[in-house]
Amino acid sequence: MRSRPMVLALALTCALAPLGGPLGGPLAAQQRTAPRDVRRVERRLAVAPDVALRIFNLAGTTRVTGWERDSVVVTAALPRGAGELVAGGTRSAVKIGIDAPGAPLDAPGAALEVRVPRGALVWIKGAAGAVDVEDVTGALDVYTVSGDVTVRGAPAQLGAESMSGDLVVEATAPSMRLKTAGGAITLTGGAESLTIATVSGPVRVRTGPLLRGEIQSVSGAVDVDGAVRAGGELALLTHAAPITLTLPGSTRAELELRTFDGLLINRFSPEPARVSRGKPYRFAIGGGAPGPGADDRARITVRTLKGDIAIYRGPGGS
Amino acid sequence: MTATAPAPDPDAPDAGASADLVRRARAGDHGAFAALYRATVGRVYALCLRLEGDAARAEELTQDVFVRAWERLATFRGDSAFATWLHRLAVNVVLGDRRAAWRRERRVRPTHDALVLEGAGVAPAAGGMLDLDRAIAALPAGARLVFVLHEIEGYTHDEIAAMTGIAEGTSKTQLFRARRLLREALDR
Amino acid sequence: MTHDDHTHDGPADDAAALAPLVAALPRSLEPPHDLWPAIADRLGPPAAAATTRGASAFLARRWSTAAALAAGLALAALSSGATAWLLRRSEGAVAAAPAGLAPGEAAYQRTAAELARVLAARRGELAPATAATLARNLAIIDQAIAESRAALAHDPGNDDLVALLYASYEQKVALLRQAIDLPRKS
Repeated sequence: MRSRPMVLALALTCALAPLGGPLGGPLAAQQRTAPRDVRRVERRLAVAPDVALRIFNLAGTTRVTGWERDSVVVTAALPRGAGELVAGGTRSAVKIGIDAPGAPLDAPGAALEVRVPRGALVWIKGAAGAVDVEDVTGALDVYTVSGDVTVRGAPAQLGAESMSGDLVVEATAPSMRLKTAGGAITLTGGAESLTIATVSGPVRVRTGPLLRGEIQSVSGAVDVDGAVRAGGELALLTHAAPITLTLPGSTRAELELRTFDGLLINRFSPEPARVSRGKPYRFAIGGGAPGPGADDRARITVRTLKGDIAIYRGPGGS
Repeated sequence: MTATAPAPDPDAPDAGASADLVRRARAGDHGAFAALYRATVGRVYALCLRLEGDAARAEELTQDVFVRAWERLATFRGDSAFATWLHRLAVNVVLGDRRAAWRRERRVRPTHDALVLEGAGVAPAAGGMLDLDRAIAALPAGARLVFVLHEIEGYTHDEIAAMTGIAEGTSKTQLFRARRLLREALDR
Repeated sequence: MTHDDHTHDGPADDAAALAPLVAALPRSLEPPHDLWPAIADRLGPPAAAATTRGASAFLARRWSTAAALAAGLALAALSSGATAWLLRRSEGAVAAAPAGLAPGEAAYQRTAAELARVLAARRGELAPATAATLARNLAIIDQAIAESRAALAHDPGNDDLVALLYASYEQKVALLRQAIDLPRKS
């Protein structure tokens, strides 16, 4: 014969079973009461394949995934007090977000998941929650305050900005603009035109051939392993942080390196560098002499006040 | 090698109407200047976008152009069409911005904003027109400058030299380079 | 590169191939946003000799953008300590600036100070962690500016040092603008 507590637990468990989850004892039953406090809301919208989407979720996480359908499906998991889902617009312009007026700072955040047409133009604003975007091929702009941002895929254009969140980009795009104050920036992929700016976050870039690149940091270390196309330009600048640049052996470029108070290490060319402190160090790689007329060489400038500069030869080519 | 003459600008206001608007704008009439803005912003923005290659920056520069035009209205003598005067002023604003950027550090801009071109009422046409704008935006800065000024805006090499401070020979070299790079890009 | 480089496919072929494409390019493109409100904000009387690139024009341009965001996104006031700290640091940077500034530096300093005042005066709140991140990174930039200025004092007119100095100023202005545009309570 079962004891009363066990009977109660069993009854509670059976009552809660339709909410999902394995059958279990009293503790599991209490845990299964938690989902009651989270509402799941879903909206579906028929849209144009290049719909312009504005998505905002200031307290929770946001995940956006591109798919092949001309529709937007948004699912929000809303804890109590997290606000309400808003979703609406026209076939060509849609706004989706969590509206929580008057919510306190410690209000719970909603988890937002949005499926969008791959070619959509997507603009996302978050705050503390993470933002993940995958498989969007339209233009993409993401802003957070401290939430980490992850982007995967091949957007037509990418802009990502955070005050202190980390930016992790595993993508290729013709144009990328990545910016943080204190967050780390990690890019693996490729861009024709790349702009990266950070104050104190470290920057790590592994990229295919750049046509134009500018990477700027005040105190965050900059580590770039990539190629620069013929006629292209790459500028690396820090105030006090080290700069490491690895170029393929086949690179043809004119380089100008300048550090006023740091070490300058050239491991690309066989000849050792003899550089006076603070003087620019100019040299050409890939054969031929620097100067006018060498128009298809890449131009690479590296400047830092106090950081060390190190240039390495990577695999590929002579 | 002569430049292809640019097509007549359907957006240019007719001379009589704009002379009246300029006169009123000079007297402080914002409404008149707004009308001039509406009639000419498309040309100015196209120039800024093609020279800069960055939609956000092009919008900022377009604003700068019209603010500068408002301040310099007293110097417009009416010996050319207002649109022509404004266009030359726009080129000067963009070039002045470039010189300031070079002094700070060579500034690299993202390529043009796909959203802008597709949202600007540009119908995709045969012949890869949008591809050409993308390819122009991806040119090195010097080549792009000369190509846009010469091939699209119709300035001669000596005019480009006078405006930009580069030698006329350099302008021609940059144009040859731009054309070659564009052909390579479009043939890919 | 000279036209002598082209042997079997010369510059004339390049020009001929591109000409129809160039001719088909639209000469006019509408900007994605209506710029007139921002322009109208910046117009003064025609006789005024205001510079277009001075701090007030810069701020007006930024403010019109920020003002649009401000409706419903008002920044909460910083804690009094952080506010005073930010204001003191930025105003202090202006007050302590010696004569002999690099060209354009004064404009950067005025702009940064004005933005810092805007940031401090917006009565709302930033999350403490965000305020701390902002303060920490502003301090890093201010130190970089000071060190660049010191280096420039020893080597005046050095273009690379000027470039490094301006880069730090632009980081500061960009960071202050980014902070002003932050959503409330984040």
